[in-house]
Amino acid sequence: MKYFLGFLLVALISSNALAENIDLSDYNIENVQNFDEFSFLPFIGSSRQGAILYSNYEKQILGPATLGYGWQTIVIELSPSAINSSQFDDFIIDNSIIDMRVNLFPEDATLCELTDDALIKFNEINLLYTTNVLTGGYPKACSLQISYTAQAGSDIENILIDYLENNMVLTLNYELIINETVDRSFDFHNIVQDLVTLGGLQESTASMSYYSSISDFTFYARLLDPLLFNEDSISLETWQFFISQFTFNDNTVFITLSDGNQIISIPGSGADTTIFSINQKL
Amino acid sequence: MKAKNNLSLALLTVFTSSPIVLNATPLAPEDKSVADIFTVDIQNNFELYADSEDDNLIWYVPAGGSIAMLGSSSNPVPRFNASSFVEFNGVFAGQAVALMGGSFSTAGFAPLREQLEQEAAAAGYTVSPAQASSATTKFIVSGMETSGQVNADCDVTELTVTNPITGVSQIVRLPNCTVTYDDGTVYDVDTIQRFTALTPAGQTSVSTSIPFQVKTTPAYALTVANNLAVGANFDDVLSAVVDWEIPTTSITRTARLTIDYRSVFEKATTFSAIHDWACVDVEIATFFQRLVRDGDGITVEYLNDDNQWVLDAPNDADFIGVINEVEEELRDEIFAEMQSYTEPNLPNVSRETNSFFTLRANYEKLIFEANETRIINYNPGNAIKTARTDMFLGCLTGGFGTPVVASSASNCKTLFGIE
Repeated sequence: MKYFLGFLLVALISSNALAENIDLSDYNIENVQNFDEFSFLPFIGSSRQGAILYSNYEKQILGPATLGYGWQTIVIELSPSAINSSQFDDFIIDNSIIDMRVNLFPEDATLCELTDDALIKFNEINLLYTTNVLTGGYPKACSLQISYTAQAGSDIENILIDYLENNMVLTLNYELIINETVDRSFDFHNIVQDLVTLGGLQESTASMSYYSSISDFTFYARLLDPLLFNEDSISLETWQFFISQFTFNDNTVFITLSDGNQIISIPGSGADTTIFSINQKL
Repeated sequence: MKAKNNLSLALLTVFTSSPIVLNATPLAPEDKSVADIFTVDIQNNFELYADSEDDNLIWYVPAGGSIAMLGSSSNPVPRFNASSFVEFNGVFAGQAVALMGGSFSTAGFAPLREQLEQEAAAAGYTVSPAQASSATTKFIVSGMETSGQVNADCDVTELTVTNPITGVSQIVRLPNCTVTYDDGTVYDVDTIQRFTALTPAGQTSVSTSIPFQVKTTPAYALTVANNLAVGANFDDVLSAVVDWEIPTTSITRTARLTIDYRSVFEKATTFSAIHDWACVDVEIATFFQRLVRDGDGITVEYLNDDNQWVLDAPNDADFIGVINEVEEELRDEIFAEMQSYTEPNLPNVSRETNSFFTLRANYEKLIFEANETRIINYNPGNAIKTARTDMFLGCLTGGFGTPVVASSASNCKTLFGIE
């Protein structure tokens, strides 16, 4: 293990970060209630039990404490400002909220990460240090333990404490995103019947079968009402699914209606929605 | 241990003897579900079971809990304390660490228990904490799972530091704690030096109050003091889980057998011949399993909840229950049991028996060509259901020379039912 004087260290960084895969499927996301400094995400079916998300944190510098062997430790905690605010207290008490006491952080959350400016400053003052991020101290977002070599009460320590207190040294940043997958479908038989009425297809001798010249087919297909496809205006993807049901041969298009092509389903492309995000430097 | 207090510290009681012989036991939820009587909030916070004897009784297991609270609901006294301690030996000699000690409780939260009782009473039920046949307690200590003990190796680590500008190297020494797993991986632990849970007798705890003690590192002592100033959780360093085994029974059910004796005897004859006309009991059991499974010779119909006879068994347990009953009903009609006693060996008289079965000549049944129909009762049998209680350490303030009290933060007060 190599240490570099004054700069990023430590293979000793053990992140006790319990960054588990969070499962939002138990929560009623549509019913999230947003307030100035926090949001309440209820469980499905419940009006009062759920998770609290905080949108504003404050930093607290703890210590320094002596580790021994020339090492000191300072801990920076990030706590939500909402706790003990009257808006928070009123909401919790009036609704008898059962707080799950969990931080719903996604795996890629940035928690108590030292800012670039802080790293540069540490390098400037030739600080030899190691860091450790702790999570799980709800309602705190995270803590950062900074252990460094210095005499207790020395100048370098005072400079460090002063710097940590008066500058943006930590980043807290995450987004809670859910993926909406919406399947679409349309009634194919309806559309074929409409096309027949318009003149774009005619009945063939085989039952439930139709045909037309390609030019007639395409001429009248232009006139199909988008609402038949359950869209305001027909998308290319929907049209591709529609056309792929037909057989094209020389100058003729054929189709046979069956139970299998009564309803055509198009799997949703999935839109991402951000239900909560925070980006703070402290 | 006994806890005398005004709070109804509803305790999950555990039986230490097995097998459990109880007249009133929880019913398997797939047999009779009582969850629907309750609101979603109660369903989310308790595992619920009907009773096998008393239609008005519901058993419960709380899903979550925290530190044991004595005192009254308006003035709860947490069973927890924290203090500062200066190490006198070891790698942290001379430095201040924190000592924490307390007891988790599996009783759950008072407001939720009260709501459970109210909702049950409104529907005509009483509730009682479920009786578990065993409980396994696990602690998550600094991300590591343990059943009772963590002792970190706290020592000085030597590291080489290189100045990137001058290229000069120097050795630095850093006090550091690690834990070595069984497979040899070494895990850095920056929060605790030692954890002990005082659970009795090995892996399982039958106590509903789970005492523990923690000694921290000097760095984490700062966080302990801060957590106890703001009432934060200690999940990064300690939480507890109890896995309960709840023995449940099933309702006795009815099935209808249609027996074609000619076919059954044909099969029994073939079967016995294979075993040289002397089948042992395991082989007899196999015979009846096949008979019921193949449905050839015996047709089994199950009486379902709508009072209809159906050919499909409601579930595997029912199927096995029927086989056992069929064997009991028919075995002695088809097979004759021969028992031989081992020679007495004085002065120890042995009463061991070996039995084997031969085919009984059952001519009376064969005379009547018609099939016979019988109604039997069977019980799918007992099943062990598991339930879990998750407990956190948090919502506490004080310590370090001042009394520890429940946090006055509003989201802690509503959880513990403090006005």
